Amino acid sequence: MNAVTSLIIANIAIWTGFIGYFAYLTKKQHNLSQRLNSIANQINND
Amino acid sequence: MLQKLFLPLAILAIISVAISQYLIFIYAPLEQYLGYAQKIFYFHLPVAWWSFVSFFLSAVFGILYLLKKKQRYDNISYASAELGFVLATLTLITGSIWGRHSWGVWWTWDPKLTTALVLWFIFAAYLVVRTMPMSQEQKGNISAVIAIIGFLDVPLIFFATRLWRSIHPAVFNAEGGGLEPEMVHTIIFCVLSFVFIWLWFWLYRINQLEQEKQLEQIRTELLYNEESENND
Repeated sequence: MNAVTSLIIANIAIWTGFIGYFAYLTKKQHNLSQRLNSIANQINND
Repeated sequence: MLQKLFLPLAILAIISVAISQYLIFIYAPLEQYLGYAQKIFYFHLPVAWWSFVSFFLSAVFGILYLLKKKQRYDNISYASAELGFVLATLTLITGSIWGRHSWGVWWTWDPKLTTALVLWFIFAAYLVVRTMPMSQEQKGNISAVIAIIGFLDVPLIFFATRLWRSIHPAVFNAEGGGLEPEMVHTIIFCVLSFVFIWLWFWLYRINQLEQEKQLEQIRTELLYNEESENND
């Protein structure tokens, strides 16, 4: 693996890692919002 | 209140990343022997150091949780451990890529690499414990102990090149590391500016965990009220 390829792959890996973690957190937040809406509906119906 | 910080932090993070990329690819000179592969160091070192910061905070707030039993301390410890694990994973990946080019192997059982892998496994175990079905307090207690034990590995990693015969480069040794001034400026900027990315993820995750706990409390109260009404 030559030096430039190594650098490019490392750069891609690190930003993919951050984007992946960001996507994971965003998905969790979305699930949280859905659960919150569900509880809000439950309270409104009671 | 935390949510107000997300946008400014995101903007600062984007600006600092843009400046870092300029410094890494344009400003910092090429290293004599490793060429472009040496520039992986400008990614590898910041994620490594900030993973240590994360694990330090995880241990500190773990201790605070064991002493005070406040849920907020457990949330901060968890968020720190999770972020530290992500950063430690990226440290191992970028290190492997650099090692493949420089040493010809993706991995070697060098003291620094081995202790770093041990740290990764300890916090992987921490995250597994977090998913296990047990009471909140038990989870918090066990996780706190794991975080404290895990953090004890961090000084071993940091000083591995001095304590043992390691082939891992010792960047900041007694002789100064042999870096040119532009390289020093670049790495200092990269490490310090990484704080914005780190803070964003850290605060976002803490905020999320707080919301999850509040939601659980509301659900529990609702269930309790429903049961009380059914019993009446």
